[in-house]
Amino acid sequence: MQLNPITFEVLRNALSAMCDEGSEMIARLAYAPTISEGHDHSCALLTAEGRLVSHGDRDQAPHIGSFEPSVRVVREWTEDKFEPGDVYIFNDPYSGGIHTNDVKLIRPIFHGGKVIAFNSSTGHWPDVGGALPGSFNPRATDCYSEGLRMPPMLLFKGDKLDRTVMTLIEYNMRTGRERIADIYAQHRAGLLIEERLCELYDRHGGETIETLFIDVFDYTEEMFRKQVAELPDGEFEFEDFSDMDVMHPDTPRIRVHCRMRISGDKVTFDYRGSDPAPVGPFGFPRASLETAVYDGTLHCFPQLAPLNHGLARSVEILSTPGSCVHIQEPTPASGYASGAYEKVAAVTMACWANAFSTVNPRRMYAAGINLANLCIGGIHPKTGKQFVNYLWNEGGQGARSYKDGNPFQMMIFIGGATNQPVEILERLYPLLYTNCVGVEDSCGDGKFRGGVGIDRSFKVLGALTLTMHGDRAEVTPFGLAGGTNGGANILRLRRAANPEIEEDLGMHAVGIRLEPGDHMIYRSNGGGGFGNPLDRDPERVSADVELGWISREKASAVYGVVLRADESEKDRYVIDRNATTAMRGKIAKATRVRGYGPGEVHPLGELIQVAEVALAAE
Amino acid sequence: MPHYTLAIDVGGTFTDVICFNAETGTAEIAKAPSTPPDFIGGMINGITALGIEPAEISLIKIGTTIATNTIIMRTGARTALVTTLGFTDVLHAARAARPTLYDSDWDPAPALVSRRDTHAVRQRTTYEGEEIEALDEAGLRAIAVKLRDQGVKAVAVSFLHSYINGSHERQARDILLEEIPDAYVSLSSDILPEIREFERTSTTVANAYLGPVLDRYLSALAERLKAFGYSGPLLIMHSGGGVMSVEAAREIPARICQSGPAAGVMAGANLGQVTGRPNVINLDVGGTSADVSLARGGRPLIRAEWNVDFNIVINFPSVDVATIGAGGGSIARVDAGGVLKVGPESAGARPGPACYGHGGEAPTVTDANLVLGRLSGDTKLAGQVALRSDLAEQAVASISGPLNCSLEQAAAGILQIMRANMAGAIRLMSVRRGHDPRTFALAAFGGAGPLHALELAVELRIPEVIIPYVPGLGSALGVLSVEVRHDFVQSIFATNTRFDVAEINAAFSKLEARARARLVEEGVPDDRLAIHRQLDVRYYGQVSGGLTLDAGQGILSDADVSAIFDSFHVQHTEEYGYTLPSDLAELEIVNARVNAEGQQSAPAAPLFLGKRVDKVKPSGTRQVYFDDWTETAIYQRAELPAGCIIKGPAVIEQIDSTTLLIPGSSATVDERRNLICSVG
Repeated sequence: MQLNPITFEVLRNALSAMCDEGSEMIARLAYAPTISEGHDHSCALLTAEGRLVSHGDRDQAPHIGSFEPSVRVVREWTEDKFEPGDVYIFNDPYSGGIHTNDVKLIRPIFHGGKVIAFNSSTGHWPDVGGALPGSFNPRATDCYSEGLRMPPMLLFKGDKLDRTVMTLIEYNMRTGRERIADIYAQHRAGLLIEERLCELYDRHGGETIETLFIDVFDYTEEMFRKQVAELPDGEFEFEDFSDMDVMHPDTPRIRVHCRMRISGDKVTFDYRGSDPAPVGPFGFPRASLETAVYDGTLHCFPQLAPLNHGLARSVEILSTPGSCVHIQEPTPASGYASGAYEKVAAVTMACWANAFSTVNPRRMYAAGINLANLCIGGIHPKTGKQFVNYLWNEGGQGARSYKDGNPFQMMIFIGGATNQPVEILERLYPLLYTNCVGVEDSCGDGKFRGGVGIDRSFKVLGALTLTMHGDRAEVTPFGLAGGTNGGANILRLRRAANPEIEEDLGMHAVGIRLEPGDHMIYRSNGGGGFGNPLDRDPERVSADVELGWISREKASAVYGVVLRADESEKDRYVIDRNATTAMRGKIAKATRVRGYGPGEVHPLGELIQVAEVALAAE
Repeated sequence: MPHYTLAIDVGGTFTDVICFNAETGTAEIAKAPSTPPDFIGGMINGITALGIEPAEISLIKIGTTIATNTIIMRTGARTALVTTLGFTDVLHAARAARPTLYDSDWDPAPALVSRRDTHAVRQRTTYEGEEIEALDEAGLRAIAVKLRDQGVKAVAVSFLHSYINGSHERQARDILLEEIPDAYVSLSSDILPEIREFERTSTTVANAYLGPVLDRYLSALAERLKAFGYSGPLLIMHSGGGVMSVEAAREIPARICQSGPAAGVMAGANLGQVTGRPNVINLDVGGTSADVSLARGGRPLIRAEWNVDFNIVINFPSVDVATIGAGGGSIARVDAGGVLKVGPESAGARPGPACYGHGGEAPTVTDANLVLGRLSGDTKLAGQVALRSDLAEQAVASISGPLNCSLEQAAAGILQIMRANMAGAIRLMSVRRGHDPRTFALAAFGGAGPLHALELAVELRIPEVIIPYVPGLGSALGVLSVEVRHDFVQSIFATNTRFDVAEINAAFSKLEARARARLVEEGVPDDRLAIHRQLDVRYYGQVSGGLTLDAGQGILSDADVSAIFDSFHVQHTEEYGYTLPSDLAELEIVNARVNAEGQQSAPAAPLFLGKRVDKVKPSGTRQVYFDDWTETAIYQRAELPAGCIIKGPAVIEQIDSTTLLIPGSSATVDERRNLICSVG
């Protein structure tokens, strides 16, 4: 590090603060509910060479690794010729990462007549055109039905909006005219970053700030390498699967496989064992693979956040072009988040868990809830107006090696997003909710269990159409160290005309027609467990039953804890010690079911155990 | 016989009392150690220290930390929640948010009601207030009996959409009280009739959780004051920046949470007003944390949502205060990458900074100030401990080694990072909300605020710093200056294309009647009532954002409502930089709000009498480190008369605070003995 450590700390904080400010500004100014309410946005600062320096601390993780490739594309496109006040718009997934809905604005930052840095921000637009409202299309077979792909286009010249580009946008997507507010939100964030960075330049001098950028990378790389060097050398393997290739439901599941190699302070993620890209949407382009690996890594090295180039250049990632984690045009990309992204982030974390198992068990996390996008549209019977609405669920966090996972958590890659209030949803859309309650027994079990998922079932009050794009109805969030896999993502339909029958719609339903009174059963994943359930403290099992997280039946069948009702107080239980000892002995003798579904034990996950030596060090 | 108004701030460590004499406009202060858990003894001690007769007191106003403490320490009543069947986890799921992106170790704060004590009952109302399932009275009675058997005395009732139709909640209350006559029952339709089930439920639960505790506290307080000889009026500070009667406090105890910081904000806003600087950024730096807030045109920023703990949301309109972990006790350390970090970990009061000599070894901000001569060994922080320079130096030396720099540079580095953290919090509060700090004055409170304020002002390019005569008594000053105030909200539904003006008028008149009734009960005469009516308006379909617009007085006509919608476009452009054409986006009214305040001329600017001195002169000099060691004059605050001007560098000492004037700055003592500092 070249700056003194005090100046470094002060200035580095100023860099992350300006990105936070910019990101918050986007949320405050934007009109699209995906940005203002869903907080699907981010804001970053990059060097003049396009290296990521900092981003907002509650940004969406999937956006973050796409900044470097996106700025690279713009610089190549313009041959590095920029004017002050230029702003480019860009969303091509194959060269820049993510999917078409994530629209980037890229601004060269000028000081004294030369480009000193770039700002890039991302906002998830509710629609970018294509076959279906919302541009998600679980049955897409190519990217041309997933909305408008934009190469770098000069959207602002001299900070004046270009009418032609804006009109192109309006002509090619639903509610395109509304996007003007979102564009201005991202544009204003860019102006703010420019003002802040120029202030720093004026106050501390350009040389100091340029040194600072280099120091930020060196510092992060050094911190990261130091910690990697403390881990044992070797290969750490893990794999996870998607439920199916939607377009070929009869073919085997899509496999995401990683072999992580640690040698000294070097780490390589080899994803070349992953399956070829399916016909339908699941996979993502190379830039998103990198993002997901960084995301999983930062969860195991949280003190290195925010992500910057120093970490990016310290990991090697191998992939095969054309595979599901490195798709190429025209393989569809819109479904990447519930598909490849969640799998790669989880697999990366499992590889790290394996490496940390002898050194620091507090970096070992089982998998948690997987995104399931539910999209409902139609004519509101009360207003007569057309509407499109996205629903998503919180769910169970995976168990930590030292404590339970929490219930009711957002997906792991989510920054500032929250759930949606029932009272607001009912007011805006023709829905009548029947549930907001934890799903009993949906947790993966273990010495520490996962958090439970949630039941947010509802009835529809109009003639509507529904599309679901999710995953993990069959292959559920994995447990580690002998903990079981968590509960399933569930979407079922009970027709008003025939309420006795529950039809399983799964995670890839398209264009389901609904009639008033139809009841949607919508439940989310529980998190995976950690360790053998028979090692769980019986008092904790008893408390779980009293709190309603698990049933008495599960307490007995999975945890071997036999409970008797307490005579003195209703809904309280006492542990039958003798019966528990007997039951635990019986379960210990039985063979555990290995597999990838709820309640089963992930075969590779089972091998990732906390080492005795690490426990002793605790 | 004099008529004194007492403003008392009961903090975690000290109880501060300001005694104001209305005839002379003068004030005196007293300080006594707080006496948890009931805090009342310390208050009586503080009053006694003033040496006045109980009969001479005509009004007592109290700010107390007891409500906040009860929630943070989780010492409230065992509370049950009764909610709609199928919706057991509205409270426990909260908003499913996380504070940071990558922290898998993080856990949300435990809810105030256990899931075991959450009971669902069959009933359902639509968003339009229509009952589609009647309340299952037998089911509810069974729950009530169970609660009675369990000895549960605090019950929150929160049903879906009760903000628009609270009849099931009222029915539930009647049944609960039949079975448990001495229960403390809070209904969400009473406490916060506002859309969004989690926030309304959480606020109601906090209220029920605090109810029995505050009830006991307020009864004991009245009794002890009576025994002391005082049975006059008693007003309690609340988070909305006003005071309320004891009766109101019993009904809505959750409003007392956060009242201490709110009072501090009011003190800053008020200080700005009386010194002719209505735009003020407030900085209150204590031992473990710093509070930052902002007042514009003499009024503090108000926000509709805040939380005591992550997920423990109390959504009464409240004075907006941001708290960061930067105080005198904040710990400095060098991380694995060789970089200096300061806070948010704090040495607290025990062991406290190394220089306290209570066994603390880690260097803190206070230790850095001592090493640099900004505090001296003779300084007794909060009038208590003498500071030991040798221990401070030893502690700071533990980081100057790894940083490879001198002791002074390490200490200056600690302060620089502390300042950067505070500047960041101030920028968040100001710039993020569209305010330029350069157009504000900085008001500094707390033991450590005046020590850091001038350098911080330089950092933020704020031209002036105001330091009140008693900076350590910010909250008590605020309590003294505020009026009786209440805020009421009611969710209503109307869009710019479909609205029923009669419904809007009905909502306002109902809220206004409630507000008037309460203020009259609290002894505010009708001609002293100020009532403000507002509407929350936003784009249709947005959950947050939007604007709170003035709704004028009297009955609204269709044209008035249309004019309010029109004003949305103007204000939205001002605040957000754009507005959407009306053919693109419908507007909707979400809430009606009524703010009611008594105008009984609370004492705004007390005059503090200091020592009389013939000539202002330093009490001494010492070496203070700025960019280098500099011979610096030391003054005693009590000896500085109105009109006197002190040039920096200088240190101005007083019993519970120290002001540092940096080289090039100067301070003028105004007629109320506030320091008006120009940073130069």
